[in-house]
Amino acid sequence: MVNYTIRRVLLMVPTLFFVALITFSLAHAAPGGPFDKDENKKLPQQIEDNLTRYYGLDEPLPQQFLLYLGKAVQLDFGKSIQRNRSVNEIIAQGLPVTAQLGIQALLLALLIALPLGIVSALKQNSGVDYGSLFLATIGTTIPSFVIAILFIYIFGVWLRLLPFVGWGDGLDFRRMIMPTVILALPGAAFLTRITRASMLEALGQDYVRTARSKGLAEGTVIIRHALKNALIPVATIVGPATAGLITGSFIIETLFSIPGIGRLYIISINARDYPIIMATTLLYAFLIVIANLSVDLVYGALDPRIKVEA
Amino acid sequence: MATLAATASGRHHADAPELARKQRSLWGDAVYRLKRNRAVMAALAVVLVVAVLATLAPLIAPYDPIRQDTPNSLMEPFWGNPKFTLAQYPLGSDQLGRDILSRLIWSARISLLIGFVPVTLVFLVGATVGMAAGFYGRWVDNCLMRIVDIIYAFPDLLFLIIIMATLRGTFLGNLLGGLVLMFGAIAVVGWVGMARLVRGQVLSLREKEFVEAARATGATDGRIMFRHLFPNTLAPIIVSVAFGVPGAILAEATLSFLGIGIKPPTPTWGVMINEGFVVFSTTPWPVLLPAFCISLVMLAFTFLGDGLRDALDPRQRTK
Repeated sequence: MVNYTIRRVLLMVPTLFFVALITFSLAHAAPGGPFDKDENKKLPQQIEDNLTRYYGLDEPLPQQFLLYLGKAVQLDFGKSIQRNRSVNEIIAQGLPVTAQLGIQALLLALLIALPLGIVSALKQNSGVDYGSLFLATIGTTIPSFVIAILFIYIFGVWLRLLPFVGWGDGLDFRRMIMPTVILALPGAAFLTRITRASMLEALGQDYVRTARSKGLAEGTVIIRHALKNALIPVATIVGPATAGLITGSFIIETLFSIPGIGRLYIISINARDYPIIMATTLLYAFLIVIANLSVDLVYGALDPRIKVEA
Repeated sequence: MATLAATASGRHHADAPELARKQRSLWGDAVYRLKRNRAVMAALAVVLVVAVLATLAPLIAPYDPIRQDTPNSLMEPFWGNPKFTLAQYPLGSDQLGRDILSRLIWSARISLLIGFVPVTLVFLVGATVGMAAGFYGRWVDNCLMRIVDIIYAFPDLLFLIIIMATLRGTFLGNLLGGLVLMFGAIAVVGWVGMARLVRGQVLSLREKEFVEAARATGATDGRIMFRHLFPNTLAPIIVSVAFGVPGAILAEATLSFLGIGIKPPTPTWGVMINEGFVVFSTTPWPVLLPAFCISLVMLAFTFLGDGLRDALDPRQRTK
């Protein structure tokens, strides 16, 4: 197990390296530089040359890349090109907002999905079951930006119940409702189906019949015997769910003008702010790799039947 | 009719087991199941209507989708306030006075192209790589699968955003209003899933007796792969392709909505939502109508995919 953990952690290095390489190559394959502006507002040649040298953009590409990696390992991601501040500072400002939004959405998704999935499995083909199927179909097929638009129209424009611009100080409950609910919806839909399916499978197992035949109370059978085992597959969804929250945050933060790193990322891409694009992409890749890794490690701990090959 | 067939076969089964059912091939059985599935048939009808509209767009659409009629901008659809509707624009007009109905119809073209072209590329590349990796094993497998693993570690949308955002300004990004780059980007992101799927299938099949038998008769590697292994991997491939179509349509809509997909003035539903969002709080229809179209097409293709999965692999049924 220790060997396996070490090997998996070491395997993260090449993955992150290639993510950096691909992003770097693509970003530099793009035509146009960060100092391109209107013909009328063009910078004097001298200033542009100085800036190019200051940011190291005149070095050969492989050298720029190695230089960047060297600094990135020490968590120095350089300075934003569009705003005169360090990338770390800009990301540190947006990250808490995105993290709060993401964690709220994840908790909400679990809070909806677990009870709904369990009840759907216990009462197959009941109203609740069909309701959860409906929710799952909507949540997984309708694009989240379309759902967001409908919510904004109904609750924001038409009923004027909820504000739909900005985030405030992170304590304004009414501002959080729509972004959180919409970001949570696809995950909730997916988790509900997984919970239902794995609960159904657990209920059909021999050990559940054994528990019943011992005369245990139905509640004990469901919670202690079936649910405990049914939750193992659910735990594996945390990896994809993290990726879903990250990509979801691009859309939700852009739509609701929330000053997190998802919106920052889209803005930086359109402004060709390489240092921010690189750092944010690496941060995302790191989060996803960590999420997948922890899922694999926890999975082994939860289910002793799964032996990891060392 | 469905119930009649069911009771009839049930009675046969009870009376004379040997007459129980007409023998059907896997494919015949799948078609039979699909026809009995009402959700699939409804979805198929929606897809066919959209396909006809898309194909005949130049004939059906009343106006050129990029023709601007600025004095008559932001007209409401025919059910709106009569003061702001115009008979010639039954679904209203956007802020540049372009006919929304025509734009919706032309958008269907782009969405269907986006749905089918990249999926074909994904199938060709992914199935070839997966087949080669699974069949030859050893270093071929190792090399190919390491590449696959790296791309797989990227979340799809993140990778798509990076490709589209960086290459949009290049020559490639300008072909057909960004359509060609979009095809390529979706294929580059998608082929790894197909490769993993086919490799897994081939790994489980290649030690089977029928492969051994084929080898004993002197079949070449190529023949074993295409005549023996490939047909046996087809069912999961079809299911994966069927889910790839709505996936690609969703990706295009999302990217265009974020402003880094298809380039305006080419009309797509995502572009329409992106452009209409500016006036959304006062005039919602230019956004709500394309949003409705995307949802309808996504639902239709997803139901088709679900139906195909249930028909081709009854063991995986969700109920």
